[in-house]
Amino acid sequence: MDVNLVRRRLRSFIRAHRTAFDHLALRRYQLLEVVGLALAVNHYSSKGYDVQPTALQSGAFRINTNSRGKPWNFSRWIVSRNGIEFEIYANLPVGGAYRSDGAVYVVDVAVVPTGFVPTVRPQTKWTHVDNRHLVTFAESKALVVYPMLIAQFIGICHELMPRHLGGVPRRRFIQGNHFKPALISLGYLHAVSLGIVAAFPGRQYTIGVVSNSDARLLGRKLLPGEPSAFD
Amino acid sequence: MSRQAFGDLIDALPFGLRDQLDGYVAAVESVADDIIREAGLDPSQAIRDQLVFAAGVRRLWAMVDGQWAVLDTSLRFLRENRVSRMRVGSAVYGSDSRDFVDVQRLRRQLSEELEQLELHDAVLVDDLSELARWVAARL
Repeated sequence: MDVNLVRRRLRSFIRAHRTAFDHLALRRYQLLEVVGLALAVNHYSSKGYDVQPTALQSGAFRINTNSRGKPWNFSRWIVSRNGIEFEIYANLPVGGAYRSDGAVYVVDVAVVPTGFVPTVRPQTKWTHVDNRHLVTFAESKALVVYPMLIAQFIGICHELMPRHLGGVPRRRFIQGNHFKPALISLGYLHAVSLGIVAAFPGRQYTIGVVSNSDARLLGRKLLPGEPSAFD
Repeated sequence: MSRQAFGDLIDALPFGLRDQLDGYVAAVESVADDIIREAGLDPSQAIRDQLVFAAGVRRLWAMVDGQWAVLDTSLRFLRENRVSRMRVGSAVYGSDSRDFVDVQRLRRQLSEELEQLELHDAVLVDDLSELARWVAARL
C-alpha cells in the first residue's frame, strides 16, 4: 500500500465532500436511538420472531428521541413468536428495581411484554412502566467504550436488572432468547475495556457491550437465523 | 509515522469524526504488536505503520457505510411492513429522502475511490489480525 498516495487521494476526497461529511457527523447523534432500535429489531428477527411496526403517524414510523416524550405519542415495534408478544420502545421511563426509592430511569431501548404501557393518553397520570415488566434494555452512546463508561452502564444495570449482575436471569428471559442488557456504542471498545468485557461471564454478568454499533449492521441479510449483534 | 499521515488525511473532517478516528488509530497503535503477533507475523516498524494507517482508513469507511447500513436496515424493516418513512426528531427519512440519498451517494463515491486505490478488500476484512495479514502481504 502506497501510504502517501492514499493519504493524498483520500484527503482530497474528504475536502471535496466536506458538506456531506458535516451532515454525516450531525446525523450520528440523531441516529443513536435508531441504531439501538435497528439492532434490537434485527435481534428478534434473527431469533425467529415476527417483527411489526405499529402506531404510525401520517404513515411514518415516529421514533421517540426525547426522554420526556410520552410513549403513546410515538411508534413502537411489536415482536411475536409462538403467540407471545413483546413491544420495543425508544426512550421509555422504567421504575428502578429497588422500588422503595421511587427511582425512574429512561432507557434508550426497552423491551416489555405487550399491554403494560399505555397506547393512548391515560385518564390518570402515567409516569413509568413497572420494573417487573422490563424484559431487557439497551443504552446507546456515541462514545468510545472506556472503562468508566462500562462502569456507568454496570451501575444502570444494578438499578434496573440486578439479577443480571452475578445472579440468575429469569427463566422467561432465557426462553425468549432476549438480548442481554446492553451498552451499544458507535465508538470502538478501548483496549483497556477488552479485559473488563471478557471477564463478564466469569463474574456471572449477563450483560453485553456492542461497540462499533453502526458497523454491526453491515452485510447482514436480516433474515430469520442471521446472526444478531448481541450474540 | 503512519499515524501522522492518517492525521493529515482526516484533518478536514468535522471535529467529532476526526476525534473518533484519531482516538481509534491511537488505540490500534497501542496494541499493534499484539494484533500482528495474533496474525502469526513478526512485528516490524513497517507492518506496524501500515496496519495503523489501514485501520484508520477501514474505520473511516465503517463510519460512512455504517450510517448507511443503519438507515437502510431500519427502512428495509419498515418497507417489509409497507411503511416507507421514519421520523426522527424533525428529520424524515425514506429511501428517496435527501439525507438517505446523500449518505448513499457518499458511500458509493468513497467505495469507488477505495476501489481505485485497491483498498476495498482491506476495509472489508473481518478483524484487525486479518488486516495485518493483508498489509504484510503487500509490503
